[in-house]
Amino acid sequence: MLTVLPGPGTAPLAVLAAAPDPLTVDLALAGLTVGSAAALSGIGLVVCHRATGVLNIAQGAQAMAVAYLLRDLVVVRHWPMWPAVALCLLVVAPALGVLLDVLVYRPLQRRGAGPAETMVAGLGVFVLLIGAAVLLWGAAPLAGAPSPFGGAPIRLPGRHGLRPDTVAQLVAILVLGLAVAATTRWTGFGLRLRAVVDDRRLAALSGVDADRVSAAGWAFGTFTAGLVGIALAPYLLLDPYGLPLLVMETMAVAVAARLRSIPVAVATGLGLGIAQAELTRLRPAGQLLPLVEAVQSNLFVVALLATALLAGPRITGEERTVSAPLAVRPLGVGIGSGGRDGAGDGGRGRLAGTVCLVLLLLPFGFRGNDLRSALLVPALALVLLSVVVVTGYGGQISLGQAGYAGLGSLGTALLMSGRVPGLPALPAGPALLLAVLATAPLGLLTGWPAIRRRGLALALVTFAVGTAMSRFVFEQPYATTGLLLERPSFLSGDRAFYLAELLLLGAGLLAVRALHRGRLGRALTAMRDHEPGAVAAGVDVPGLKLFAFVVGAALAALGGGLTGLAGRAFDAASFDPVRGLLWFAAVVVVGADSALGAVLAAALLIGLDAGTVAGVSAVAIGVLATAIGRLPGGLAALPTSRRPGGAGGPASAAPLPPGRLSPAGLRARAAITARLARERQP
Amino acid sequence: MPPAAALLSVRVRYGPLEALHGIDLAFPAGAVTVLLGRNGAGRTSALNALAGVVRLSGGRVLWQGRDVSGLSVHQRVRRGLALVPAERGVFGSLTVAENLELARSGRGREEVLELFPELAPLLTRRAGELSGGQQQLVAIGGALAARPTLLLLDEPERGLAPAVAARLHAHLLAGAAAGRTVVVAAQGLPRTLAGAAAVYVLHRGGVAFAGEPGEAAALADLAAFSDLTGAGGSAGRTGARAAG
Repeated sequence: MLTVLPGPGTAPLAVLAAAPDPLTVDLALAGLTVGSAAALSGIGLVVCHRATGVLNIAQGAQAMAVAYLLRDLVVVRHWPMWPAVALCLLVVAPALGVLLDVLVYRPLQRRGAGPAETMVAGLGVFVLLIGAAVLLWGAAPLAGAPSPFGGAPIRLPGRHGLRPDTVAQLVAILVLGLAVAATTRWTGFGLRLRAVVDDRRLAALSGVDADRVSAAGWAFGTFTAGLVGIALAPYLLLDPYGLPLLVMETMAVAVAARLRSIPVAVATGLGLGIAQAELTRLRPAGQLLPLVEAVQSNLFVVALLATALLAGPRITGEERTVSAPLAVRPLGVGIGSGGRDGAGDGGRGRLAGTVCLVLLLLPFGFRGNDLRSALLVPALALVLLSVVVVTGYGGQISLGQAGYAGLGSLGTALLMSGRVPGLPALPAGPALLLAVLATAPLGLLTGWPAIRRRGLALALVTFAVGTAMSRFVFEQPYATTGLLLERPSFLSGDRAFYLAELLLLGAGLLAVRALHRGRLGRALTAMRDHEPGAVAAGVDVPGLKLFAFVVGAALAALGGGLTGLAGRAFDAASFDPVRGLLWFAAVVVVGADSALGAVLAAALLIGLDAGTVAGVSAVAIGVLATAIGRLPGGLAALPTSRRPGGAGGPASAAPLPPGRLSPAGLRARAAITARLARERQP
Repeated sequence: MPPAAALLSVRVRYGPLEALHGIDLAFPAGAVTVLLGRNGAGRTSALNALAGVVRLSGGRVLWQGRDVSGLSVHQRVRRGLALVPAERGVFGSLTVAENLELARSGRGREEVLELFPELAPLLTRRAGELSGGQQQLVAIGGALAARPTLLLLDEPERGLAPAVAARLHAHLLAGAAAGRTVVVAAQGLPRTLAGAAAVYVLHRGGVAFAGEPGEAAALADLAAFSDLTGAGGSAGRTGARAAG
């Protein structure tokens, strides 16, 4: 039963429908603030995508960086407002965009990289900027972001007020929208832009400098990102994670516009903003209230999930390629990536295995805080292993693994606290096991959409699912209060618990290794490298995708449960979607199809932050991910990709390692050799 | 006739495959040169090397009296080069008028419409909606509208009616007489291009023959060499295989 609580000067719901009352108008005007920021973000994403063919996934981080810079200039360095705004928006933001284009995206464009690799590079930019912000300004939220227009609201007839910066944003939308439309339609640059979007190669043949068009697109994209950041920052506490995520959620606007139509993006943005404000009036009684409140404050997440699901397999209708989403090196080059028997590879695999083992055994010599940080390494390694299974082996992009880790942790906590109806409070072991078993089938949440989606569309859906889990499950009051998470008494010592974690990690590695061998391993590899080919070869691709996501969810849940037990608490912030992005980028740069690489990545992520300052690991991963254009296959592929070969750089053929042949293969090879020898004789 | 452009020991490789094995080709100024060869012989790679579409793994490209190997495609295009690729030569989402306009502000649009009056009623249509032959006309028209000094065409007759192809060939020869350097890649030497100045036959990434059109026609008649141009009939090809 929905009722409307009488607020100051409100009318009941029935009257509401009949005529707009003052509160409705006031709420709509308030909603315009967020709505217009979302619309601006949509314009930036659409224009940038049209000019460059890339979804600017790092837009939120760019917005955050510009907002931080403006606050630093105005509040800390006491610059006057307008010169600071001009410097941020007209100089720094476009320069940042051009820099990103030249350093990050152009090498990818030259190499003809697919949308997935471009997205990993974008994630690299994202985590790099966040890490840089943490290093420069700290992770603590800062108040007092300056608002360029500030001041008293403008009085409208009927005693309504409108913030001056909202007016400025609406003007900006109008000006930018009209300018973009006029430019693309009536100017030579617009014609060249459309030519580049249509066919980059042919545009160059028509004398168009495609690189310059891309650079202009990136400059514009970053400029609008900065505009969004400056517009939103005054309404929140500025912290390195919150603002980027908020802006990322407004991607819903661009996805609704299918990354093409600016009017649709503007309408969706404004509509969602107003709807969000109006939803505050809905106050259902009883248990529905928290849910409605969650929907209200996370309407953009709901919209992102809905638009990403509704947009179907092709968001823009442009992705025609069936190539593998990631440049994974041919078999036998990952760091000991399980079950490879190539001659030179075995040695390197053993070496990597030894390094991992030493790294994992080192913490037994630690004590106190060091040991407590080390407890997180095997747990995180298991979560990263889930990315290896889903993305590295199965070729499916999943940005939502942090959600499954969180579910594992939360599930363990709920079961141990006896909060699950019908079940008594369980001890830690059974609770963890049950949580893993219960989370595994939830892998279908991302596995099901993956059946028809690839690349960018899948990335958006999995990210939306992960974000929705974080917002609607982890951050709700029932999850954050009164949960008990305690290790069993014989594992209460940190060293004993670490040993138990290592055993579980070992079991996980063995399970993953088994996945990568034999018929199943070949089917997964076939699916990753060429989906239609795998279908043609008789692989049950939909079933295999679901299987990969279920296994990934189970591994992530195990890792998440261990994270919770290690810290003796459920911490929603540990499973933030932005962390999931960082983890995904870390696995890809270390080498997505390398199981031991996941262990190394976990040690790197935890060790760098514990040993130095928080944020260093994000910067390191970001730097590596932005270099993905020059580093196909990640660090694990480095030894082979740098092998001196014929002329021509990365395209030159690395000789394939001698594989072990089946008896039939040996017979075939003998026959070929004999035939060649016969032909050479005169 | 001095060469207007030349490839010097040019090598082109696509991944592990080398498509051109260090070939030398000279294209005389103010004349039509025809590149013959079977599929995979390296004709398209030679044109792409000249235009800068592919990176050279060895050798140099000379044009306008200087080494242009370091110039990108659009820089060469701005210096007066135009390449009509064999496939995907039009911007499908742009109108025909915009396709013509894109080539250096479309100064030569009227000339193009004079040569191909078929295009006049199609100007407002999107190029992607046209038939293959019409798209080919748009692609050629776009290149001609730029008034290039070095015009490269990869199998321009594809999809064109014989009469239109003959009209195009006459226009190419007339353009060459007026000082334009033209290079045409083709499977076989068209009769209407007999006025070309030079003919190269490429075979497996090398130059198998260089000479005048008359000589090339005689070459095509020899059973043993018909394999090079693909111009001979099936009987000739069988003969060549028997001889080899």
